[in-house]
Amino acid sequence: MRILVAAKLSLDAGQLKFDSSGHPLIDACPRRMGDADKCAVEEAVRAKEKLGAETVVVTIGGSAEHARIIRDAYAMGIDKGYIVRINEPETLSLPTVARIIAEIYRRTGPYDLVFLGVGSNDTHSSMLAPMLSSMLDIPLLPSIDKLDVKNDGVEGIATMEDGSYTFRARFPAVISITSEANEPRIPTLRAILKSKRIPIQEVSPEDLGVNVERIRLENVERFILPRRRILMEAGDQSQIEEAVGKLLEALRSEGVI
Amino acid sequence: MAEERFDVVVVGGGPAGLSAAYFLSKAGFSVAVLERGGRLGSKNMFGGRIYSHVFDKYFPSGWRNEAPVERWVRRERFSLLCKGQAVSMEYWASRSPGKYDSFTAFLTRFLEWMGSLVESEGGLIATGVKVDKLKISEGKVIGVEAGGDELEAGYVLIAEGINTILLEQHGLRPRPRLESTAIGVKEVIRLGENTINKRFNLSGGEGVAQLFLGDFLKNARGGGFLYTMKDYVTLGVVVRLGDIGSSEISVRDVAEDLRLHPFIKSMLEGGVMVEYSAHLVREGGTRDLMDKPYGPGYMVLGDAAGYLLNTGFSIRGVDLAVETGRLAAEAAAKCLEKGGEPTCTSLYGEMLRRSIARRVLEKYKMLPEFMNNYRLYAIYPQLACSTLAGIYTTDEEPLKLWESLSRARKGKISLISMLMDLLRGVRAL
Repeated sequence: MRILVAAKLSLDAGQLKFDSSGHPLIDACPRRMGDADKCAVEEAVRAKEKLGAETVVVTIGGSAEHARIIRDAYAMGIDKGYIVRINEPETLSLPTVARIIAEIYRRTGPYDLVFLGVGSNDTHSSMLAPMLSSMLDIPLLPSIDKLDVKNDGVEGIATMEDGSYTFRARFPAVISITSEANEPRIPTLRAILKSKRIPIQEVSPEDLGVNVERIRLENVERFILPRRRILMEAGDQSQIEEAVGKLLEALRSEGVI
Repeated sequence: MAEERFDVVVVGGGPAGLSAAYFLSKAGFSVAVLERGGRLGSKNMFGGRIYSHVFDKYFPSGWRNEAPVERWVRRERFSLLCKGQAVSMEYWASRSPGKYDSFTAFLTRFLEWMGSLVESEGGLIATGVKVDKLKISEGKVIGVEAGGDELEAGYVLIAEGINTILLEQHGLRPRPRLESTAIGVKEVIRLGENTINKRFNLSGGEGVAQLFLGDFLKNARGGGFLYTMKDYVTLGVVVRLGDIGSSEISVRDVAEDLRLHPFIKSMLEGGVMVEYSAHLVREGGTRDLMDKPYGPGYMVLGDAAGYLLNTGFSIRGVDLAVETGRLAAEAAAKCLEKGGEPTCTSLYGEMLRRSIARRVLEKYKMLPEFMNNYRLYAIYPQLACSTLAGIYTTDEEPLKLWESLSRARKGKISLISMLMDLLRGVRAL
């Protein structure tokens, strides 16, 4: 079995700070592998441990930080890694990213499974997995919280607002993994040292024959829902009726109900 | 696993550990650096200035262009802050490019650069690895244990910084004394390059290093600092732990009062704080040096061995750490060539005793005692402010210097005490 995992260097959103006007200080924010991506790596390593597989990771970007993602994945147990060298990967259009991963899939395949984090810590569009599945014309198991990889296929459970869905597919398939799917392992010393000795394969978009489209991020702002506090006082039991009446009236006048 | 044996294992990926690893891997030895933080530098903290001399002497000549330097320090300022007043002194010297004594940097980026040097020489750096204990056999340190894994080494270099957890656990060093430990708090404030250049009168990638004493310290012994980075300013305080723990003073308030002092507030107007951090600082001078920073199979480097110097005018840590790292590397290399006897580490002790780092610390031997004097932090800044206020406030009958000083010190400090302090200061500095 062969498994491809795509991982992205994204903002460590927990450490993102804002200036007084609500603009995020993106430059000052540290970056790391996305949470869901890390869970995707973990699922790939678990499948490898269960059934035996060659696991491959791919990331896009030109800096040493991007190479660190591959090393982190190696330390968790991934066997092989590709880094697609391209500057400012955050400005790539989503279809470009999907095309790059699709080409890696085609040129370094065949693969039985493709794992992705359901969304990255920063943009979180959740679009990459569906786009990739349609480009490759293979089934998609979206937003999987619980995964079971078998010898002849895969079964995943996704928890949605209206209940949980069970998806089953034969190989090959694309699976997007949520950050609730598992608890990614903390690599051991030995695994980390070993990860330093595994080479990283470098490719360029030209090698892959992918036409690079860029988009420009115009502005990012913190979305704040204005909050109003309306207090209804009810000192004792007898006043409750009255307070509820007032509350309903207030909700109606605000257009909430 | 036999393959997991290294010539040298370094505990701690700070300036001391990484410089040792750099020199050793450059000399062809197999080295692994184990760093507890998720990234190099993520567990340590410093004010912002590094002295250049060690890099000029021992690093590739292109380092000045390659290292992630924020600004080269051209202006040295020292300010005494009082209520609504400030007295400043500035040293400025014309310097040709490439000759600056010191520079400001973010330690995480700087260590990343040092790490890249280590890796380009074939050294291994593992981050996110907490060394649980030293592996000891027949009284000799033969390796380390981390998360159930063992790693054997010819020599273990312990460069774990001020929190000497490993050393204390093995009884190799006592917990630092309260009197010789301080806490540092640092804010990183984004101002933008142009604003910084304008407000601090800087150009051409030059920067300012500024130290503060005064009433923001609230009678605690310590000081404030400000360093200009390219787009940011770091501002912070270092205060003795003993003065903080036993009173109502909180270090946060001290830092806040420094930032809100009108003299500083105007410099930082419009700035956005992007980072707030705190860390322990060693302030004991030679009294805090480990008597024997080595033993069978191990050597102790940098801050862990007590190599940090605060003279009141300058604070040196990174350069001393790099120096101890270089010496440990040299000692380890010689010992390995001679067959790797565990007791050979005494060579490091010998080299350290004769080192510049040690000489510098010895030179300021009297200093910690001098700096224990509370008058330095509260009375003298006030005295300077009042005296100068007397001179510069011109009304019908201005005060002469002596007159103004006498008035300022009245009821606060005797002339004898002042002369004694002056004498002590001259001897200590």
